[in-house]
Amino acid sequence: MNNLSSRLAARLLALAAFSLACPSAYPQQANTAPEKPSPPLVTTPPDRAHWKITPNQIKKQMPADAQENPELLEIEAWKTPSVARVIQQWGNGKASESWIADGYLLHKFPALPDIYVTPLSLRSSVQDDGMSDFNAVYPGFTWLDLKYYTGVIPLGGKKCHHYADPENDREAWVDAETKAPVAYRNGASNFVYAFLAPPAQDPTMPEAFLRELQNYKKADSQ
Amino acid sequence: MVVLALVVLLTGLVVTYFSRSMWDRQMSNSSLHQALADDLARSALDIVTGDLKQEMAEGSMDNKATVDDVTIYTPDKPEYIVPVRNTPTNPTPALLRISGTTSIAAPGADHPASGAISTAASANGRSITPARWNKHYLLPLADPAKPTDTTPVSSGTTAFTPPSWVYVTGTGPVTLTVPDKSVIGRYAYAIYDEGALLDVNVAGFPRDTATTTMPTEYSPKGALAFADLTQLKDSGGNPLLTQAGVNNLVGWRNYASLRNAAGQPSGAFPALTFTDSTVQTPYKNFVFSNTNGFLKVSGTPDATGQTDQAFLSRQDLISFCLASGTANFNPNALQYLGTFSRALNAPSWSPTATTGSPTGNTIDYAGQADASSSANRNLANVRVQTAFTRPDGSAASTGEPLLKTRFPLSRLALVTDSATAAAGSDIEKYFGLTRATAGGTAWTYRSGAATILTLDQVAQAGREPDFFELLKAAILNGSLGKYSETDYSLVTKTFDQNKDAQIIQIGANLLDQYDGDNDPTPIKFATLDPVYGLENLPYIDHVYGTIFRPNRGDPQYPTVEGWLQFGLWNPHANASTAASSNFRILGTDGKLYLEASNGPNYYSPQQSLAGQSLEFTATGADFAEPRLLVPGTSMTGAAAFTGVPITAISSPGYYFGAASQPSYAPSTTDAAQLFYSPCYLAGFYAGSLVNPNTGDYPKDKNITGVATDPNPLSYYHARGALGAGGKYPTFDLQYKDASGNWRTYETIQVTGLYLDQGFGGTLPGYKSCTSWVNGRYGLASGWGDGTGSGPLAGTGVAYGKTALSSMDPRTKRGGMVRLIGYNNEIIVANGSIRPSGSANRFDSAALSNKGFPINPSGGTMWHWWAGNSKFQPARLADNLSTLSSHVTDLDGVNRRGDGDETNKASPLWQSSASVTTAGVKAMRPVLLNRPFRSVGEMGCAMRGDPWKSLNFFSADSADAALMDVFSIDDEPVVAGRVSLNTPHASVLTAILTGGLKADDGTANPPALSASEAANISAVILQEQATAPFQNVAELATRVGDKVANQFSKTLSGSSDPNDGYVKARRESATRALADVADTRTWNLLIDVIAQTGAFRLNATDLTKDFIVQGERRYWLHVAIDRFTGEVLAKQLEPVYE
Repeated sequence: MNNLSSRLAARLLALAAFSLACPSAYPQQANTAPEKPSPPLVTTPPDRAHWKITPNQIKKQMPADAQENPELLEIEAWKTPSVARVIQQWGNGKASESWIADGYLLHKFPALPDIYVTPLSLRSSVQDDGMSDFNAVYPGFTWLDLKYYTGVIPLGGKKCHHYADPENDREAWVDAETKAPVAYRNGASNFVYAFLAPPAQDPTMPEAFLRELQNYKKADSQ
Repeated sequence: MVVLALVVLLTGLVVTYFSRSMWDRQMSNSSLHQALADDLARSALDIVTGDLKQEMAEGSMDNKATVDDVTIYTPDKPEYIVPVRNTPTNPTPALLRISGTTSIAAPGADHPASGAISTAASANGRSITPARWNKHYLLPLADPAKPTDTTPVSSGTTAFTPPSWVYVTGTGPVTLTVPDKSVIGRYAYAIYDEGALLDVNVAGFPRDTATTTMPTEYSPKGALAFADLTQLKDSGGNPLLTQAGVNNLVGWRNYASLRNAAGQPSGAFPALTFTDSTVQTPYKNFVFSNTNGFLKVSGTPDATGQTDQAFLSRQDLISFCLASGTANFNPNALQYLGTFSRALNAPSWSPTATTGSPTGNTIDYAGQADASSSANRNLANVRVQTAFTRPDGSAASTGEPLLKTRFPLSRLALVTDSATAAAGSDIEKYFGLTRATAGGTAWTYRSGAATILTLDQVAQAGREPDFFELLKAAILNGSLGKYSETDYSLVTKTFDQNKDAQIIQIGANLLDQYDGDNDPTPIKFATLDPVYGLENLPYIDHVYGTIFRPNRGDPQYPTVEGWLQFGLWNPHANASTAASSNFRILGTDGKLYLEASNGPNYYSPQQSLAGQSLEFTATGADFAEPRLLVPGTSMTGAAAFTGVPITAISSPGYYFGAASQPSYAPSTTDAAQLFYSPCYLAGFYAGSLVNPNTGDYPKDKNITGVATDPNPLSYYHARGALGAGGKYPTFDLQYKDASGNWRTYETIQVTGLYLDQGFGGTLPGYKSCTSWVNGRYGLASGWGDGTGSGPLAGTGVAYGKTALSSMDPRTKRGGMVRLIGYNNEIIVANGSIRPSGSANRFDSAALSNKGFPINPSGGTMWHWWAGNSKFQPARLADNLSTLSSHVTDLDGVNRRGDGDETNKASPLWQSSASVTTAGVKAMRPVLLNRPFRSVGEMGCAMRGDPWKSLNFFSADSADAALMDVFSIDDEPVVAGRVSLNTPHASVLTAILTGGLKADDGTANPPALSASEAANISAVILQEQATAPFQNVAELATRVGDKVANQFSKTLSGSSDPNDGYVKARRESATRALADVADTRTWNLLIDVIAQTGAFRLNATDLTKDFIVQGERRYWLHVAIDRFTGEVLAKQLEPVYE
């Protein structure tokens, strides 16, 4: 199975899971009485982790030309104590690549020639925009608060703590036993987590990233 | 009868013979006794002088240090810096000691007198009357109305107690209670502090008698020649010397020099006169062209063959005074005047700061003063370790003091903009600087040395210290090198924390204060970027991140673009005097881009800055207040714009120009590459946002007006990236020199450019610059009602601005403050630490209400901001620990800034509505651009900390020693100094009166009034009562704060701050005194009368039974160095009565 077919298969599985457990996510109510979970409401990524997030567009507002606004097919993340890496696959066949290493966040985008580097120290708090600080938080889950807790519901065969924030039109499902993320919804899109075998070694940073990282480390030690 | 006649004749012959023989014998005996008396008098002087030297040694038992047989006597106690006073009464404070029976206090040494008072008659009727003892007029007269009667006051607490006799035997002085036949003579003496007097061979200036104000040629002071002798007054306040008398004195003294230079004086002694002001400049030039320390007079005659003259003795002066006439030269003035003064022009400062003093100090500078590793040493005790030849050709032997002379500031004239220097040149010897090419090429300090050596290291190297090494030795080390824990907004930490780099900066600033050009002196130190001396030029004050919607591209999907704009400010008071010049901001490395986040992430392509520039012309006045660069009216496209920057920057609308002022983008030779903004701004283009995955423009619904488009982004960031050179966005601020070459004088590397700007919703901070896309919704119009909280129904094109703001445009120490337009607050060009008034300052409200700065992580420099939720960088102008924001030096001392807003003195703004704009200007720093007239004028130079110039005006000064290490004079021994411990307030008042308060370029610049001078003199005397001054540096640390309340005038308006609260004006006292005052040399007049003789047989009374056979009187003028005991000079003046 090539990569594309593999990604498509994973996405189909996720869609199936959502359609079974959460056919209409937003109006859904918990099917058991709320029992308040204790903090932390969701775990943080362990030292070594590997996961995929597969989006599912519930409310399709896709432009006619997918090349102008391509669909996000998959987010895959690797994390070790030293580095973290995220690859985002887009429906136009292109990919974004991001790294976190030595206190820097590095991005390479399909439409831009340069690598964009940000020292994490510049950020006043951890950001959760799907492609930042993924070494410290699971994307989609930083907003959780007990005030949003609705109860325990099953999702994908798991008992999940469910959180809903109607004001900002978002939901989240957290494994009630392990506190691991299961899925979240943000507006029109659902995102399903799938955990894979953690990496035994650091992923190898491409030369272009490595060179840029060294340049910034040198510049910041002037 | 004949026989009788013969007998009578013979008898007559015999009588005549014997009579003649007796007369000859008497003559012979008289000559013999005179010779013996002369020997005795000289011996007595030697004994007294020896006692004084012994006193120095006794007073330094714990702190004397001997190296290679060279001993330095550092006083054990502060009071040991001056001779021990031993007088039963106090007829004049200048009387230090008489020969008497009272035991002298330690560490004084003398040979006590016996109980025989000198005014009592001897066996043969000889006595020394009080009038004789006051023949020198050093004691106040009993009857001032009879100036020729020298009888001193004889009753009351100021009565003169005459000296008693010290008897001498063949073995030396003895103290007797009964007569002793072995006595061969006796002497009595009185010692006066001649160093406390004004040396009339130097003091006094010519002036038209119709003028009472201090001529501007004289008011900067810098020499005793500019002391106002008319301030010597009697108890009724009447001048003891009139200006006519002074003119006669100066006319006699400097006759030929002034005749040759000015055609004056006219008239004849005793009525030599100066009739107009044309003498003033020649006299000033005469004083400052003196090259012998006033130790010699010019031998150049005038056309009539007459030369200058000097008073060779005190008796000459007295004769001159009496001949001048009492009306113009009252002999009562003589108690304040001397004819002999010598000062060793060598530093003797030793740090006095100890742990906890000043408050917070963690370094025991005093305890480490003799440690070889210390940067701040006991200067007199730093010894030569490796023999070498000094620049003047003399040999420097091991053990002798390394610093034999102060560093003459006249050497600063060597380092000109047109100079080059190779190894071995004077510039290299005195400054450690070399360069092969003149002009804008940076000087290299000591071939790229990584450090400035300490004095101990210099001594090991076997040479004299250079200018920068002396700066390092004099400035308290813990006051240097403050830095933010991380590079904050700018890359500054590496430079900031290098203490030696700050020394280089201070040195360059001093050089550029001294030279007359406006070309910053560039100095390359170690591997750091060049340091540029401060000149009268605008400096980068703000860097603005500007983000807005241009009216180009697809109207449906207009992009968001960003620019970096600049604001400049020349905060010098004399900014407007700077000539018009061409300026340029040149990008040299780095890239700019935009980032939008917290939602869909958008980025702009990165824009390389290297080679791009903004060029403009401006007058000095254009940047006398903070100004944002905007297009000038005559600006066209890629050409340099020549219009002036905006003038009404408090109006937000001026962020943009007008339609007639097209945008000005970074220069390029390719017109097609220009970015033409519709908003008429001048800056560096940061790019336009795109979807980084597709390259398409962002489409959020607040921009597009399409409800189904994505939600708006929360934040936009102007960002910086590394360029090809490995640096963040880097800009050189340049000016075009007279040769047409661009010269960099400031470089900033902007790191951490992460300027948040909220967008949409109720957040303001956006401004329409066109109405091109009216009808869009959801965009705030930030300036809609002029308060920053405009209606949401905006015009569709948004604009936002954030900024980096310097705490002082002249230094970027600690980086720049980040300002963010937030919560209905706007950031305008003067919404900085220097708005139009304190009410508008951005730091006047809590963080939650204003654009707030981001505190540097680690907080090395800044204090309190987190505690009270305010960070108020403007408070750094005062930097008082009681204020909301302040900076503490690395030694723990919170040293004050130049400002004093509590007392309405702020260099930034009108601290209250009543303060005049002229007053604000007067409180700002001055760029002299001329040679220093006084070592105190070094206080004009910035020290590399925000709003701090070199401090000569407060107790916490870390710079005060500079006044001791540097000098206007270029001679090892000079005349014309006055002891700072002079007890004569009148002497100090004469020196201070007319001292320039501010070199503001006006025809009648403010100067110290006589009453202000008298007030300050009183303060100095009060300090003396606490402890004698050890060093001229204490003019800053002990006098500075205390004179603040002694000024009676305000800057310009009645509600302006008092002069005493304005640093430059308060330092007027220091400037007037620093070059004239001395603490190291004892200048004494020893008045000794010696009588040879013996007690008669069966003598019982020490006084009545002594037969005087010969008598001699001398006035010995002697100068002794307190730290070595060396007699620098002496002048033996026989007294003929």
